[in-house]
Amino acid sequence: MGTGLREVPGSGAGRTITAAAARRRRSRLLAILALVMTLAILFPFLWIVLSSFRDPQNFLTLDLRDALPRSLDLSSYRLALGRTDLFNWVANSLLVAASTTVLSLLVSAPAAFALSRLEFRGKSAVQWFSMISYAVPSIIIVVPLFLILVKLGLNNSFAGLILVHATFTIPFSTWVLRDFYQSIPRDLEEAGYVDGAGLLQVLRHIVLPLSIPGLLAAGAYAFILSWNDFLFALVIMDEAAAYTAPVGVHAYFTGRFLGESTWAQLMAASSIVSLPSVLLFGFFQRYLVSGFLSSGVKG
Amino acid sequence: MRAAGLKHSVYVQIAGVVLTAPAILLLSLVVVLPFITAAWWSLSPEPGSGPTLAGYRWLLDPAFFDAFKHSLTIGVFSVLLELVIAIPAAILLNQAIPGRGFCRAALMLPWAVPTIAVAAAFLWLANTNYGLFNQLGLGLGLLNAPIAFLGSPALALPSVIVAHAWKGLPLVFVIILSALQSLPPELMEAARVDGAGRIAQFTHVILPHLKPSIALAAVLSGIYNFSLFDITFLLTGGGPAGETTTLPLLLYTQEFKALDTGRAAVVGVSIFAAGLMALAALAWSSFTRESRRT
Repeated sequence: MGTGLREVPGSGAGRTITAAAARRRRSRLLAILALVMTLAILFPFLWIVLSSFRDPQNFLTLDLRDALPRSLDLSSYRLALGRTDLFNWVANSLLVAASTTVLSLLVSAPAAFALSRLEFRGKSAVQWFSMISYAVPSIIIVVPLFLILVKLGLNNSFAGLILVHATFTIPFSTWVLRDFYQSIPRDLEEAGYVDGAGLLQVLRHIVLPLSIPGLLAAGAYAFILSWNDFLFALVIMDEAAAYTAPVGVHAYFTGRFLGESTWAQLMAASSIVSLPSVLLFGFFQRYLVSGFLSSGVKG
Repeated sequence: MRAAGLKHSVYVQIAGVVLTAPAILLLSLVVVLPFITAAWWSLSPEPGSGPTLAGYRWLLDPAFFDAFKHSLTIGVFSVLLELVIAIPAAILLNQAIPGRGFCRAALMLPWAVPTIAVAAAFLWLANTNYGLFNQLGLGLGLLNAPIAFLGSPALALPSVIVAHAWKGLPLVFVIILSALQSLPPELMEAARVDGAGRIAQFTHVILPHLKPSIALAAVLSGIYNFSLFDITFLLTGGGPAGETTTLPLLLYTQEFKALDTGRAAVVGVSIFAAGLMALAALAWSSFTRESRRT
């Protein structure tokens, strides 16, 4: 900040008011700059959403004035839902992502509670094991994992995909929930024990209600990770009726002649596929971000 | 007291094992066992023969070298692009300005956008005839003829890099922003009192403070982009003429097109090893920095 903008004690009321006004103007300018920057960075995503509202009959335009939708034309969405199996794929994705979320929390929450509250032998081994699993890139394990699923009879089944997705969320979710449990004062639990409650009762009546924000964050993470996954859904599910939304969109549009209405459908389909993840992220970003910070992000 | 008793009893040992067992079992089955299997495959090119490192001779093959080069280029340049955008963005959004919370959250959004939509967005923006990039370029007179961004051997890799940088920006942004938040205000105040200008404040106070976080963000995001399969697969499929064939895509084609599981496994283990080396370099550099300080 330049010296002229700083308040100088005893320099008179007029001076103070102009300094404050200058500061306000500066912060307003910076806010506009920040907003422009944010929109510019988000632009690729905003562009598919904007394009999805264009008129599909006049989609491939050479005139820049036609590049923005004139009205909220929903024909692209009608085409995307009518001509492809998108509705079915979205239903599959919902089933897989919702089940993944439940399974992930059922496995991660007890593990996180044990790691934050119990001093047991092998605790640090568990933490190391989970961290190392987190560091293995997906592409390396996809083929042997597929063969293991074949042996278990779980290939091309939602159960297999859910098991895989839920497992990938374990390291991050356990980490976030462990941090969360550590932020709950132990006195509350101790009070429960003093009043004669057992571990299960303390868990149910004291720990569970307090850990709802943490469970929501871990749950949102699991849902988004499962919903967005492309590689494992591509390899594990091989029947068109069982595709998840990203794989279905890929299968439908790949190798197809991309005429105007196909591009329009792709934009509408991409917007639909993005919607659940983007909404969940919008609701839970505060909790998610603190989780990213303590562990690093893995897509 | 019951709680004190809990700490030492056999009960706690059993509870610890029982509560963490499902997580460990699933991770073993879905991550660790497949990883060990891949490592084993990479050592046994012929079924029935003993373990051998012969498969790794393939690392000297031009096909592997090119894929490595492409992956490394994507890893390095996408991270540079992310840092060039994330550092100023984080400095701006660390000021007390209205709408700061919204902008911070919005910059995290690419993390949540599915890769299929990321690919659709960049395919559409970079479309040769009707994409916005070409239309703006032609309209503003910057281009004489439309460019096939993803179809030209020279521009396909840079285009793929931009898409990776977009998807990976949130991780770098959040690491840099949290580092800025831990910058003591007194430090900035002292620099200001000493008459340091904006640029001097940046190079002498902010940047040195950010250095470890920049290294951390660069390594984490670099490893992620180096080993990412889907964005490149969806944007170019490795083309044109193999110019964007990365190590993950090479693994995929070796496995599903060439049906050579041994080679695919060699590629996989190499991807993991490269990431491990980058992490080790990061750990080593922060270790030496710590020991210099003391």
